[in-house]
Amino acid sequence: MSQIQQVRKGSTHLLILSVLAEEKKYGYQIMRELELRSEGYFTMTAALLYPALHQLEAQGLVTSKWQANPGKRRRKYYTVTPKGRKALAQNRVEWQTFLNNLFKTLGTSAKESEA
Amino acid sequence: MTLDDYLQVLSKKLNGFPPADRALLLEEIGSHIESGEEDPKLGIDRGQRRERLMSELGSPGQMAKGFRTVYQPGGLIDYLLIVIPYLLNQPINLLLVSLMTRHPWADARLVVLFHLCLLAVGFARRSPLLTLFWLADLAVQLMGVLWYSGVYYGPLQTTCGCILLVGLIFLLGRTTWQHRQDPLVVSFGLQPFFMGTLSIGLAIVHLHATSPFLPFELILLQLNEHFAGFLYFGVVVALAPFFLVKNRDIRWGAWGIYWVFAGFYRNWLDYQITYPGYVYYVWALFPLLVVIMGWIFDGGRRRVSMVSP
Repeated sequence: MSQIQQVRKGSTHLLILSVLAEEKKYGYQIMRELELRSEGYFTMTAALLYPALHQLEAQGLVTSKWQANPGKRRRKYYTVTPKGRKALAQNRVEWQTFLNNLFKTLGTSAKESEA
Repeated sequence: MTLDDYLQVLSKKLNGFPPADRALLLEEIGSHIESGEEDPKLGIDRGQRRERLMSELGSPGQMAKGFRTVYQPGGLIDYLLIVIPYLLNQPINLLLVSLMTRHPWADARLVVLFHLCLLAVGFARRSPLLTLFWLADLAVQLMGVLWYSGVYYGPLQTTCGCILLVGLIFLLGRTTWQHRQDPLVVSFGLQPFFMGTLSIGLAIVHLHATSPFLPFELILLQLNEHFAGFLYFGVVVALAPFFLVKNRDIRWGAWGIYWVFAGFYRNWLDYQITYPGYVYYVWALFPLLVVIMGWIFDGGRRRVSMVSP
């Protein structure tokens, strides 16, 4: 696994929390939202997403609730808990610090690197 | 593989999960597939959507493995497969002692065979915790048998015992290495082996030691003597949250308490054979210190996994 792949895998929980921060979503919605927001850069297989969601739930960072979907299978909606919001805020700052320092060390800025 | 096949394979791969939990996991993945089949963004027709969905699911094995790391199915059975033999250990030893006078074969070799059976169960259940527990326990037992009674069993049996011991240590190392990403499993595998080996080492070094205990140590050891039964069963109780709870902090706490009970209980045994006083501290404090370090390392690792590779 390359270093970039490792970073992407390591950021799974953070990405899920950030997608769930605005409103409750079910697994499929989270997957599409991630893809949309990152313009296809962050794609996640269901095999990675669902165990990660259950892990976050076990850690108390998200809660879930089944909701009926008339004529179809029920959907399981996930919501970020206050503990999850706190962890997300803290990790956003840490990521920002990490990226700022990385770009500073590399001698470029995040915007320049995008260009 | 079709999507229906996928759910069937996933259901098989989730064996060991309670049926109700398995049904809920399958329902959630089924709902995911249903949502994808209805999503026009995935393709113009059902065939295209199904193809895209399949490529996005990941393998059923990978998904089941992910769920296993969260739920640890079969934790209760693993716990019972450790606790019941532990509780039977003393009656079995007494039985063997009574049998040995008439049947010379009823000795430590039977205990080793019994442990081998438990180890086989661990491998059959593909349970790393069960396997590691009995691997470490058997390796330490065998080491003790070879050291104290190697001459008694003669060169052939001693050589076989040594080969078995090397094999067990290899398997212990390999199983631990396979789970190196989980410090809790690593600690569960290596710590009992290390402490057992240390115990035999100390016994060798202090073979003819007298008992130079300080008054404070004597008071604590006498307290241990009074509470030996409590400590013996305390070990069993402390292991329960380790196997049955999902929260890692609670599991680390249970593992630490296990070592406090095991350490103090061990000290009571050591007191009977008069080791010097410092052994007391090694047994009571060193394992707890290692567990606390492991817990801090694991906590840092979990936090880092959210912010960096």
